[in-house]
Amino acid sequence: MNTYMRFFDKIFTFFKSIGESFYDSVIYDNRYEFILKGLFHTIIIAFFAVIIGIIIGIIIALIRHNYDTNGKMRIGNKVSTIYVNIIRGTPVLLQLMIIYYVIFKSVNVNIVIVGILAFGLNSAAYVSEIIRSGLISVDKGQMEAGLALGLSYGKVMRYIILPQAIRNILPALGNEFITLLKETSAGAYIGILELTKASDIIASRTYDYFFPLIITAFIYLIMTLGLSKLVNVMERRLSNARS
Amino acid sequence: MLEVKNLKKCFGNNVVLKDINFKVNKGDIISIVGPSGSGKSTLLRCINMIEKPSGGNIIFEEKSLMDKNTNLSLIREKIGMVFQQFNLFPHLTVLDNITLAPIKLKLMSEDIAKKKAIELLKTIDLKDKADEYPNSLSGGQKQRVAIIRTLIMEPDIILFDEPTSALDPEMVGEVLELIKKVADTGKTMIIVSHEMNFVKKIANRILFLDEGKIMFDGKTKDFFNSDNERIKEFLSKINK
Repeated sequence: MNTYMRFFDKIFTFFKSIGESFYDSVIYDNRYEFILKGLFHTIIIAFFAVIIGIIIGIIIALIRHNYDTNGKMRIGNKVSTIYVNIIRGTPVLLQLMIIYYVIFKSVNVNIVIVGILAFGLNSAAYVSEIIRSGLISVDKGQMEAGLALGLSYGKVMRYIILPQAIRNILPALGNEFITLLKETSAGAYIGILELTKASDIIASRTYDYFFPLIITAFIYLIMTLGLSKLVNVMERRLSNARS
Repeated sequence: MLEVKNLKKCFGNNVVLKDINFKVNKGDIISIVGPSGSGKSTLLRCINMIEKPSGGNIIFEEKSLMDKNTNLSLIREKIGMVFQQFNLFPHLTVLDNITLAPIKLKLMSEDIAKKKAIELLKTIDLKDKADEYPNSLSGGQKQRVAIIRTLIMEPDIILFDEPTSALDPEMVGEVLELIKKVADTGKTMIIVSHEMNFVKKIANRILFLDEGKIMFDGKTKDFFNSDNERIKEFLSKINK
């Protein structure tokens, strides 16, 4: 064999081994199904956690803002503050384990629901602080004008203050949701078959980490880039009403 | 229709209003004047409870606003307020700014509110701005829209809190003209203003506030011809 042939042979074997590696990781034994299932669970957990985070986050933010501006809801404010401090002061992985191994210890509950609950409750603390900063950013005169027109505190919040607050905090909220999407990978630790766990399972069968990890990273990247694109579009839509 | 009784207001240890008493009758156009820091705006803001009084009482149409059982929102529907900083809602179009309250309070259907808002906008020549956002309006236009927003509620009384203080000089005229127009319809008003020439022309009664107390309560003519030293000093400073 001359040197040329040896060279081509090497390249050929290289591509062949890549092809084999890809085949083993993705196609053989329908292993891509792990990835699809993992992706599905990641999206489900992130989506419902975001919804829980927004709902509880808004409630906490309104309670704390009401206390800050009117001095009402003293106890609610105390409870909310403690909640936010505990959630922000401990790792999400620990919270996940506490919910799964301690709170739901003797209850037979779907592990995906545990994930949704843990990440939702975690996100709520961060979202509440973001929304609170948004509420503070709206000029005091807006509340006064709304009240002076005869609207109740709740109606002013809903139609005047919150829409402006959300517009102001959209970038920060988008950031929080991107973080949340990536953080769901911690769910692998308690055995949720989400995207990161899926790649781990495949790799543990082939002993080849390259494709499972790279493909998974790519999927996360596409999702987060899509999310930030979405936030940008929303920002642009709302910016026409800037004062 | 409106009575302020022994009204007190303090911010911490700082006493802004001490024992304010006066009555407003239907059709009155009252101007509150006085040196800056005398509590004019605070007094006005206490009347619709945007600022919570520290003591005393405010009675509107025989209802006490300090009574915990009084529905303040229902009363505020009848007490309009125009702010120094306009306080239009920047996320809503001009039309939505005007129709938000009547629609959300279910006082009018959406169609009727819109029709009425357009009619009102026509009277100030801003009909073609109906679908624009407030940030594209000039200061004078913003304040005139804010006045329209109050008028659509058909309030019994309108409070004006230094309506021209935040405006460029060339826009003061158009706003004062609109206020005059509203006054000519017989609407009851209380105006806090530094525009003495305007006050002289429009108000039939003056409240002169100094150091948190009412120093003068009487006819406009009597105020401008007063012998009181404090009033004379105030007027001479303003006219400089």
